[in-house]
Amino acid sequence: MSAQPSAERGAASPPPSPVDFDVLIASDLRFPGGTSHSIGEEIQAQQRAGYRTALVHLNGPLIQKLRGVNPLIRRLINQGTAELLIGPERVRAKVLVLRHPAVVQHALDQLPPLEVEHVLVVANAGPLDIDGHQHYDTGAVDAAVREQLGVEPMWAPIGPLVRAKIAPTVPAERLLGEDWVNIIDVDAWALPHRNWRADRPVIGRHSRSSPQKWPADAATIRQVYPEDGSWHVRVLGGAKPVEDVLGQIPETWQVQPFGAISPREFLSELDFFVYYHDPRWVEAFGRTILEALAAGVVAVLPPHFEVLFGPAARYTEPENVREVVNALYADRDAYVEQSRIGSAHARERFGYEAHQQRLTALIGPPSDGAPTAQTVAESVTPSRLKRTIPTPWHEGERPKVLLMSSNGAGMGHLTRLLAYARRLEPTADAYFLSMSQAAPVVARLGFGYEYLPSSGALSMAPGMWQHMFVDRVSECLTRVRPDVVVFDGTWPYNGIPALRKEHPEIRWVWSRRGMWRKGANTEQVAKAEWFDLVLEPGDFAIGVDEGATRDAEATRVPPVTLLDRDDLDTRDEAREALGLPAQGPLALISLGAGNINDTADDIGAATAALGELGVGVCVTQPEIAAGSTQRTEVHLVRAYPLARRYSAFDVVISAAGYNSFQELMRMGVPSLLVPNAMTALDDQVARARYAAEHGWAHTLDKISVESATPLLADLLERGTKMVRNAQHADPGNGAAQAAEAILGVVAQARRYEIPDPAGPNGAVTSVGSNARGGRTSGDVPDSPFPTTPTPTETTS
Amino acid sequence: MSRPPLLQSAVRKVRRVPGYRKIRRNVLKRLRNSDTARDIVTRVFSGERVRSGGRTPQRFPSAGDLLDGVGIDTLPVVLISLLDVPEERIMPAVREIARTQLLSAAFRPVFVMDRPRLDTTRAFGYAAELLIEPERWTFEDQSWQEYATNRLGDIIARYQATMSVTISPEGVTDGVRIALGSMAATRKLSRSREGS
Repeated sequence: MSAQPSAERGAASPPPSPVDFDVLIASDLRFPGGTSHSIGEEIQAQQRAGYRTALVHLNGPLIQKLRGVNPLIRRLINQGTAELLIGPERVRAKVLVLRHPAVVQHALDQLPPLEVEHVLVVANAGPLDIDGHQHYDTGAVDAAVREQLGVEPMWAPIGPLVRAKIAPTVPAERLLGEDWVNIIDVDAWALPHRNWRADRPVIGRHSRSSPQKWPADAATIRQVYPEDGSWHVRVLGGAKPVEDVLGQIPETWQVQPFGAISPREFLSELDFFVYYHDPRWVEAFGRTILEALAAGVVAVLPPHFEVLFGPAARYTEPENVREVVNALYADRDAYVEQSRIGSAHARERFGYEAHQQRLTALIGPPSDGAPTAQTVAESVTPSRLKRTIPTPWHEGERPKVLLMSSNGAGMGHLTRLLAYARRLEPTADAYFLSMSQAAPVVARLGFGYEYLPSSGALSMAPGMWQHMFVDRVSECLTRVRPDVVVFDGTWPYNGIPALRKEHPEIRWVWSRRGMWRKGANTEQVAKAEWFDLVLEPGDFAIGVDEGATRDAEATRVPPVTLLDRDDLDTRDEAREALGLPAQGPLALISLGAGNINDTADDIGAATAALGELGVGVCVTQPEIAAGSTQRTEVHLVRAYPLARRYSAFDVVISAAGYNSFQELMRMGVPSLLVPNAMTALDDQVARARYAAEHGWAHTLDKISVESATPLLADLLERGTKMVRNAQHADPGNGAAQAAEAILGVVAQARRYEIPDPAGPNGAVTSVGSNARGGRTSGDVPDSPFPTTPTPTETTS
Repeated sequence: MSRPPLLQSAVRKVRRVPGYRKIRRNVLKRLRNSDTARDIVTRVFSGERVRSGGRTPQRFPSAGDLLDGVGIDTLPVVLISLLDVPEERIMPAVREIARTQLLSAAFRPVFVMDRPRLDTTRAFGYAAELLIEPERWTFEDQSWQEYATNRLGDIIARYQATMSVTISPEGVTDGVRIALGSMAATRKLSRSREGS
């Protein structure tokens, strides 16, 4: 088995080609009613005009119960009329249409990375509900769009009523002059003219059965929708609010639930579409009214609709509805003329052609030959790693070490175990069992491994996961038959005692770095009793360790890093390997403790600061990062282990996690440390401050252009000299000593001596029953370390 | 099912109380998002034995990041086998399953793969199990087939999968699409039975 730390899984890759669409519509695609229908209509109108449409679904706050994408939109997606985008890949579109501001306000962060020329926020409702509940705040929505997309959005109310509601709070220059009215395929809705449907007027309405959609009082309901049988009253969508107000649904009415028949079929049974609602509510548009108009059914509406529908309908107060309907019913010619006007107006103002015209005015004609979707994930430069198949376990008599890492937030646990594994060879065979989804990286370095999903990755309750942990690890131990298990983590799993009981022949080592936050995790220290050896990798900043492990018994070794200083590439080699420019200053920004928190702001500020100094910017994409935030102005660096390429950079802006910190100090890299204060246990703040106080590096809690620029300038000038002091204090890599300690435990378990890899005449190493020992005041020349005792006793 | 007249009357009166809709919206939202409330309801009404040492695992396995809403925890679990699927075809397959899930909101996928592409499922927040690659199998006392068989059985039982589908090396086939689509019909049917 050979470990090749030089093996990489990738290098700097150019920004991938984005996906091109004319129109990108983002909204909650689950809405059952008008919003989804409007989206569906726009998709179809766009396709007819040759525009290419993509959809992004946002889980908004207005739908509480689980439901799939609206059937109409689903059908269009399945037909290929629009493309549903999922995943974090970058998308480029001429215009982003954000429909429903409440969704935008609460779910904008669900958007993938975008490049858009225009952003349109379609306000299809006012901010307030009838009970005063604020569904959205125009200022918050506007700010969110500007902040996330870097584009000042245009606001597009769907009608005059919504316009009046949002106009006071939206910048006038960004309020579209024309309303972004809902559209309809008039030809598809048109019904053939026929005579009256019955011997008396047949009126009806179609709406969801929510109280705001109905008049609030009994008198108005009775005025508009007679219960005396003088007219036929038909309702599609249910009438529960009527039942609540009148005590029952009038027997003369014919009520069908929402979706019982198609709206067009329902309209074909009507002479008049009579729609009145709670006067306190602003019906923003009234899509069902438009459907009635397109179908040629005469609409009778409250007067406030006139600004939207103009001459297309008849308007009157509730008490005059009977008069208006009866008059038209008595004059067939007048009715037919009103029907014609309604239909024509619907086509002119709300037809597909009208939508195509407003879209062309906004983004021009459709693109020709838009490229097909290309996933960024698939376009990333393929790994240049040459795979190595590990040596089979059962060859020879070499000790077997199972290295087990908890999931953690970054690569720390795995990297530390890899450091041990590299030094265990060729004396022992190392095999990994990891709860980190980055586990496959160890195969790229030549080691065998298997993956056990963590409770977090599965959303599994911890108590239940412990059973799974015991079952799976036990199966692994039976198969692998290791001499020793090395667990690296700060929270040993409760299933470990059960595993020890099931496999009493196997020894256990706890690799537990220090620098825990003061007072945190103290109860875990007692779990040392579960292990035969507690191994503590040192820390350049150990002098300020105030955590629970500070005075606990452990075998302590100097700081552990996967690579030694000798492994470092030259500057030219590193830049070539990473595909970076050979000339000019370059900085690396590596702020990710994986996906533990969002560092986008810091990255942006750091990029700007470096830009002011004329330094090129590289950004890491951590192995474990959940998503990808590709930025076009920076070099994306993907390599593991990256430390080997550190000489490519003139300065590094880094978090202060264990591995990054030890590597930067050991490799002598000028560093601006930005400690991640959100980690559960690791005291990054203390580590960074210690380095700054000793003049090894600079540190900032939060990056701003103003604060970072002078520090970066200083590092560019004298950073190499600063970090040289840390190198002088370096007692050497503790990984080899840690490997020795592990092998000592194996020797004790097997009760035989392990040959020194140096050769048959080399020393023989063995350790006592439990090589624990408190921190002592060993002396290392020029070292700030309070202790660096020899971790193992050597006998021969 | 109709309510007794007295209850109907009471409900009507409550609905007319000023601020009723606001209170209902806020209270329901909090209850729905409360793990404790869900835990209590599950313990009281499900009759399921709760394992010691942990809460009832209502949210296991995760339905992923695409869906949201009440009822997400009760979606049936479907095991999606990606064994034998070449690495470069895993992402397109996962993407297609994700698309199907988003459109139907009818199942929770659990992926099983033997190629190290956990990044593909992580992109959507799906549960995934990675088996040891057959080429890397070096254990003499057990065959890879036996290991894979045992592990699949363990996964089906542990995740309580109600169906499994196998993605072919060529990718997602119509058969898989039909099978996954059938989950929506199954849910619709069971909901209508609950309602009747």
